[in-house]
Amino acid sequence: MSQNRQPSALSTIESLVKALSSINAFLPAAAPGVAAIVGIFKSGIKAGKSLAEMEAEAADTDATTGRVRDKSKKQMGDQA
Amino acid sequence: MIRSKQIVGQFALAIVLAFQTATPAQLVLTGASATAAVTAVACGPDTLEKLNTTLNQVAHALEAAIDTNGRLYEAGAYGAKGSPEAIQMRQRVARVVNDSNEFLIQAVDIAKGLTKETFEANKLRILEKLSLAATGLTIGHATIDLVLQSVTTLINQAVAIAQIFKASDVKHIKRIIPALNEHLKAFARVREITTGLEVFAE
Repeated sequence: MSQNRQPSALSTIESLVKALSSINAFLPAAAPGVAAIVGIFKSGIKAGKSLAEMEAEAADTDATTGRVRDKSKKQMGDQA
Repeated sequence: MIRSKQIVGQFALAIVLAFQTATPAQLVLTGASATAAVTAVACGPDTLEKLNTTLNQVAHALEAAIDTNGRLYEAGAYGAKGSPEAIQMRQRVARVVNDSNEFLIQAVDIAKGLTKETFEANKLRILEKLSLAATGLTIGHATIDLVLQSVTTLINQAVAIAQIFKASDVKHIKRIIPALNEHLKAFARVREITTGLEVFAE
Protein backbone atom coordinates (compact mmCIF):
# COMPACT_ATOMS: atom_id res chain seq x y z
CA MET A 1 0.00 0.00 0.00
CA SER A 2 1.25 3.44 -0.77
CA GLN A 3 2.94 5.33 2.02
CA ASN A 4 1.37 8.51 0.63
CA ARG A 5 -2.07 7.60 1.85
CA GLN A 6 -3.17 8.82 5.24
CA PRO A 7 -4.87 6.59 7.85
CA SER A 8 -8.49 7.39 6.93
CA ALA A 9 -7.95 6.58 3.28
CA LEU A 10 -5.97 3.53 4.25
CA SER A 11 -8.72 2.17 6.47
CA THR A 12 -11.33 2.83 3.79
CA ILE A 13 -9.25 1.06 1.20
CA GLU A 14 -8.50 -1.82 3.55
CA SER A 15 -12.21 -2.17 4.30
CA LEU A 16 -12.96 -2.16 0.60
CA VAL A 17 -10.29 -4.73 -0.16
CA LYS A 18 -11.62 -6.95 2.64
CA ALA A 19 -15.19 -6.65 1.38
CA LEU A 20 -14.13 -7.21 -2.21
CA SER A 21 -12.13 -10.27 -1.26
CA SER A 22 -15.17 -11.80 0.41
CA ILE A 23 -17.08 -11.56 -2.87
CA ASN A 24 -14.85 -14.17 -4.47
CA ALA A 25 -16.19 -16.90 -2.21
CA PHE A 26 -19.80 -16.65 -3.27
CA LEU A 27 -19.72 -14.87 -6.62
CA PRO A 28 -16.82 -16.26 -8.70
CA ALA A 29 -18.00 -14.38 -11.79
CA ALA A 30 -16.87 -11.15 -10.16
CA ALA A 31 -13.45 -12.53 -9.24
CA PRO A 32 -11.41 -11.17 -12.18
CA GLY A 33 -12.73 -7.65 -11.77
CA VAL A 34 -12.30 -7.78 -8.01
CA ALA A 35 -8.74 -9.04 -8.41
CA ALA A 36 -8.02 -6.19 -10.80
CA ILE A 37 -9.27 -3.57 -8.34
CA VAL A 38 -7.46 -5.15 -5.39
CA GLY A 39 -4.32 -5.09 -7.54
CA ILE A 40 -4.84 -1.38 -8.23
CA PHE A 41 -5.17 -0.60 -4.53
CA LYS A 42 -2.14 -2.70 -3.63
CA SER A 43 0.01 -1.11 -6.32
CA GLY A 44 -0.25 2.26 -4.58
CA ILE A 45 1.57 5.23 -6.07
CA LYS A 46 5.26 5.07 -6.83
CA ALA A 47 7.25 8.27 -6.86
CA GLY A 48 10.24 9.04 -9.06
CA LYS A 49 8.98 7.83 -12.40
CA SER A 50 10.97 8.66 -15.49
CA LEU A 51 9.47 10.84 -18.22
CA ALA A 52 9.15 7.79 -20.45
CA GLU A 53 7.23 5.99 -17.73
CA MET A 54 4.89 8.95 -17.28
CA GLU A 55 4.35 9.20 -21.02
CA ALA A 56 3.53 5.53 -21.16
CA GLU A 57 1.15 5.92 -18.24
CA ALA A 58 -0.65 8.87 -19.87
CA ALA A 59 -0.98 6.93 -23.13
CA ASP A 60 -2.28 3.95 -21.19
CA THR A 61 -4.90 6.17 -19.51
CA ASP A 62 -6.12 7.36 -22.91
CA ALA A 63 -6.24 3.82 -24.24
CA THR A 64 -8.05 2.53 -21.18
CA THR A 65 -10.71 5.25 -21.16
CA GLY A 66 -11.24 4.51 -24.85
CA ARG A 67 -11.81 0.83 -24.13
CA VAL A 68 -14.20 1.67 -21.27
CA ARG A 69 -16.15 3.92 -23.63
CA ASP A 70 -16.48 1.15 -26.23
CA LYS A 71 -17.37 -1.57 -23.74
CA SER A 72 -19.91 0.52 -21.83
CA LYS A 73 -21.63 1.66 -25.03
CA LYS A 74 -21.86 -1.93 -26.19
CA GLN A 75 -23.31 -3.05 -22.86
CA MET A 76 -25.81 -0.20 -22.92
CA GLY A 77 -26.92 -0.97 -26.44
CA ASP A 78 -27.04 -4.75 -26.52
CA GLN A 79 -30.51 -6.18 -26.10
CA ALA A 80 -29.36 -9.71 -25.29
CA MET B 1 -29.79 13.16 -16.26
CA ILE B 2 -26.42 14.65 -17.14
CA ARG B 3 -27.69 18.09 -16.09
CA SER B 4 -28.80 16.85 -12.70
CA LYS B 5 -25.47 15.07 -12.29
CA GLN B 6 -23.72 18.33 -13.07
CA ILE B 7 -25.68 20.11 -10.35
CA VAL B 8 -24.91 17.36 -7.86
CA GLY B 9 -21.29 17.39 -8.96
CA GLN B 10 -21.02 21.14 -8.52
CA PHE B 11 -22.51 20.80 -5.06
CA ALA B 12 -20.04 18.04 -4.23
CA LEU B 13 -17.22 20.20 -5.54
CA ALA B 14 -18.40 23.12 -3.42
CA ILE B 15 -18.31 20.90 -0.36
CA VAL B 16 -14.85 19.65 -1.22
CA LEU B 17 -13.54 23.18 -1.75
CA ALA B 18 -15.25 24.51 1.37
CA PHE B 19 -13.70 21.84 3.51
CA GLN B 20 -10.34 22.19 1.84
CA THR B 21 -9.49 25.23 3.95
CA ALA B 22 -11.31 24.05 7.03
CA THR B 23 -9.72 20.67 7.52
CA PRO B 24 -5.99 20.35 7.46
CA ALA B 25 -5.27 16.75 6.72
CA GLN B 26 -8.20 14.48 6.34
CA LEU B 27 -11.77 14.71 5.21
CA VAL B 28 -14.32 11.99 5.08
CA LEU B 29 -17.33 12.64 2.90
CA THR B 30 -20.31 10.43 3.45
CA GLY B 31 -22.62 10.18 0.47
CA ALA B 32 -25.58 8.05 -0.44
CA SER B 33 -23.44 5.88 -2.63
CA ALA B 34 -20.27 5.49 -0.69
CA THR B 35 -18.08 6.67 2.09
CA ALA B 36 -15.11 8.23 0.41
CA ALA B 37 -11.89 8.94 2.15
CA VAL B 38 -10.28 12.08 0.87
CA THR B 39 -6.72 12.46 1.91
CA ALA B 40 -4.45 15.44 1.74
CA VAL B 41 -1.22 14.34 0.15
CA ALA B 42 2.10 16.02 0.85
CA CYS B 43 2.80 18.52 -1.90
CA GLY B 44 5.97 18.16 -3.89
CA PRO B 45 7.40 18.13 -7.39
CA ASP B 46 6.12 14.62 -7.89
CA THR B 47 2.51 15.60 -7.14
CA LEU B 48 1.52 15.70 -10.79
CA GLU B 49 3.09 12.32 -11.17
CA LYS B 50 0.82 11.07 -8.38
CA LEU B 51 -2.19 12.66 -10.05
CA ASN B 52 -1.22 11.08 -13.35
CA THR B 53 -0.93 7.68 -11.70
CA THR B 54 -4.20 8.05 -9.83
CA LEU B 55 -6.08 9.04 -12.99
CA ASN B 56 -4.59 5.97 -14.64
CA GLN B 57 -5.79 3.85 -11.72
CA VAL B 58 -9.29 5.33 -12.01
CA ALA B 59 -9.36 4.43 -15.70
CA HIS B 60 -8.36 0.84 -14.93
CA ALA B 61 -10.87 0.61 -12.07
CA LEU B 62 -13.62 1.73 -14.46
CA GLU B 63 -12.52 -0.93 -16.92
CA ALA B 64 -12.61 -3.54 -14.13
CA ALA B 65 -16.12 -2.32 -13.26
CA ILE B 66 -17.43 -2.60 -16.82
CA ASP B 67 -15.80 -6.02 -17.25
CA THR B 68 -17.31 -7.19 -13.96
CA ASN B 69 -20.70 -5.91 -15.09
CA GLY B 70 -20.52 -8.06 -18.19
CA ARG B 71 -19.43 -11.11 -16.21
CA LEU B 72 -22.17 -10.68 -13.61
CA TYR B 73 -24.75 -10.43 -16.37
CA GLU B 74 -23.40 -13.55 -18.11
CA ALA B 75 -23.34 -15.46 -14.82
CA GLY B 76 -26.95 -14.60 -14.07
CA ALA B 77 -26.22 -12.43 -11.05
CA TYR B 78 -28.68 -9.83 -12.31
CA GLY B 79 -31.33 -12.42 -13.10
CA ALA B 80 -31.55 -14.94 -15.91
CA LYS B 81 -29.31 -13.95 -18.80
CA GLY B 82 -31.43 -12.42 -21.54
CA SER B 83 -34.29 -11.54 -19.22
CA PRO B 84 -35.54 -7.93 -19.34
CA GLU B 85 -34.57 -7.23 -15.72
CA ALA B 86 -31.03 -8.58 -16.21
CA ILE B 87 -30.54 -6.58 -19.40
CA GLN B 88 -31.90 -3.48 -17.68
CA MET B 89 -29.53 -3.88 -14.73
CA ARG B 90 -26.54 -4.40 -17.03
CA GLN B 91 -27.52 -1.31 -19.01
CA ARG B 92 -27.91 0.79 -15.86
CA VAL B 93 -24.46 -0.15 -14.63
CA ALA B 94 -22.99 0.43 -18.07
CA ARG B 95 -24.58 3.87 -18.17
CA VAL B 96 -23.13 5.04 -14.84
CA VAL B 97 -19.72 3.68 -15.79
CA ASN B 98 -19.98 5.36 -19.17
CA ASP B 99 -20.98 8.69 -17.61
CA SER B 100 -18.14 8.51 -15.10
CA ASN B 101 -15.67 7.60 -17.82
CA GLU B 102 -16.76 10.53 -19.99
CA PHE B 103 -16.15 12.95 -17.11
CA LEU B 104 -12.77 11.33 -16.48
CA ILE B 105 -11.89 11.83 -20.16
CA GLN B 106 -12.92 15.48 -19.86
CA ALA B 107 -10.74 15.92 -16.76
CA VAL B 108 -7.75 14.40 -18.54
CA ASP B 109 -8.40 16.54 -21.63
CA ILE B 110 -8.49 19.71 -19.51
CA ALA B 111 -5.19 18.73 -17.90
CA LYS B 112 -3.65 18.53 -21.37
CA GLY B 113 -4.17 22.26 -21.97
CA LEU B 114 -2.83 23.68 -18.71
CA THR B 115 -0.90 26.95 -18.74
CA LYS B 116 0.18 29.12 -15.84
CA GLU B 117 -2.49 31.75 -16.48
CA THR B 118 -5.26 29.21 -16.77
CA PHE B 119 -3.89 26.99 -14.07
CA GLU B 120 -6.28 27.85 -11.24
CA ALA B 121 -9.40 27.94 -13.39
CA ASN B 122 -8.51 24.66 -15.00
CA LYS B 123 -7.75 23.12 -11.66
CA LEU B 124 -11.30 23.95 -10.61
CA ARG B 125 -12.64 22.50 -13.85
CA ILE B 126 -10.62 19.33 -13.32
CA LEU B 127 -11.95 19.06 -9.77
CA GLU B 128 -15.48 19.60 -11.04
CA LYS B 129 -15.14 16.91 -13.68
CA LEU B 130 -13.66 14.49 -11.17
CA SER B 131 -16.49 15.24 -8.74
CA LEU B 132 -18.97 14.54 -11.51
CA ALA B 133 -17.12 11.35 -12.37
CA ALA B 134 -17.64 10.18 -8.79
CA THR B 135 -21.32 11.11 -8.73
CA GLY B 136 -23.98 8.49 -9.20
CA LEU B 137 -21.72 5.47 -8.95
CA THR B 138 -24.32 3.35 -7.21
CA ILE B 139 -26.96 0.99 -8.51
CA GLY B 140 -28.48 -0.92 -5.63
CA HIS B 141 -26.76 -4.24 -6.28
CA ALA B 142 -24.32 -5.12 -3.49
CA THR B 143 -21.52 -6.61 -5.56
CA ILE B 144 -21.32 -4.10 -8.36
CA ASP B 145 -21.86 -1.27 -5.88
CA LEU B 146 -18.76 -2.39 -4.01
CA VAL B 147 -16.78 -2.29 -7.24
CA LEU B 148 -18.20 1.15 -8.05
CA GLN B 149 -17.34 2.32 -4.53
CA SER B 150 -13.74 1.38 -5.25
CA VAL B 151 -13.85 3.64 -8.31
CA THR B 152 -15.28 6.46 -6.18
CA THR B 153 -12.48 6.07 -3.65
CA LEU B 154 -9.82 6.30 -6.34
CA ILE B 155 -11.48 9.35 -7.90
CA ASN B 156 -11.51 11.04 -4.51
CA GLN B 157 -7.81 10.33 -4.19
CA ALA B 158 -7.33 12.15 -7.50
CA VAL B 159 -9.47 15.05 -6.20
CA ALA B 160 -7.35 15.27 -3.05
CA ILE B 161 -4.15 15.37 -5.09
CA ALA B 162 -5.49 17.92 -7.60
CA GLN B 163 -6.64 20.22 -4.78
CA ILE B 164 -3.15 20.89 -3.50
CA PHE B 165 -1.94 22.64 -6.66
CA LYS B 166 -1.81 26.40 -6.18
CA ALA B 167 -0.56 28.60 -9.02
CA SER B 168 -0.62 31.63 -6.68
CA ASP B 169 2.14 30.10 -4.62
CA VAL B 170 5.16 31.47 -6.49
CA LYS B 171 7.70 29.35 -4.69
CA HIS B 172 5.58 26.34 -5.28
CA ILE B 173 4.94 27.08 -8.94
CA LYS B 174 8.66 27.29 -9.62
CA ARG B 175 8.85 23.68 -8.65
CA ILE B 176 5.59 22.61 -10.17
CA ILE B 177 5.90 24.22 -13.60
CA PRO B 178 8.99 22.24 -14.63
CA ALA B 179 7.17 19.17 -13.41
CA LEU B 180 4.13 20.24 -15.42
CA ASN B 181 6.31 20.73 -18.43
CA GLU B 182 7.76 17.27 -18.11
CA HIS B 183 4.38 15.77 -17.50
CA LEU B 184 2.53 17.56 -20.25
CA LYS B 185 5.08 16.61 -22.89
CA ALA B 186 3.17 13.38 -22.79
CA PHE B 187 0.16 15.31 -23.97
CA ALA B 188 2.26 17.32 -26.45
CA ARG B 189 0.56 20.60 -25.59
CA VAL B 190 2.55 22.74 -23.22
CA ARG B 191 2.02 26.42 -23.90
CA GLU B 192 3.84 29.67 -23.34
CA ILE B 193 4.25 30.90 -19.78
CA THR B 194 3.64 34.63 -19.35
CA THR B 195 6.53 35.33 -17.02
CA GLY B 196 8.72 35.85 -20.06
CA LEU B 197 11.45 33.93 -18.34
CA GLU B 198 10.43 30.55 -19.55
CA VAL B 199 8.65 29.36 -22.62
CA PHE B 200 7.20 25.93 -22.78
CA ALA B 201 6.24 24.86 -26.23
CA GLU B 202 5.27 21.68 -27.90
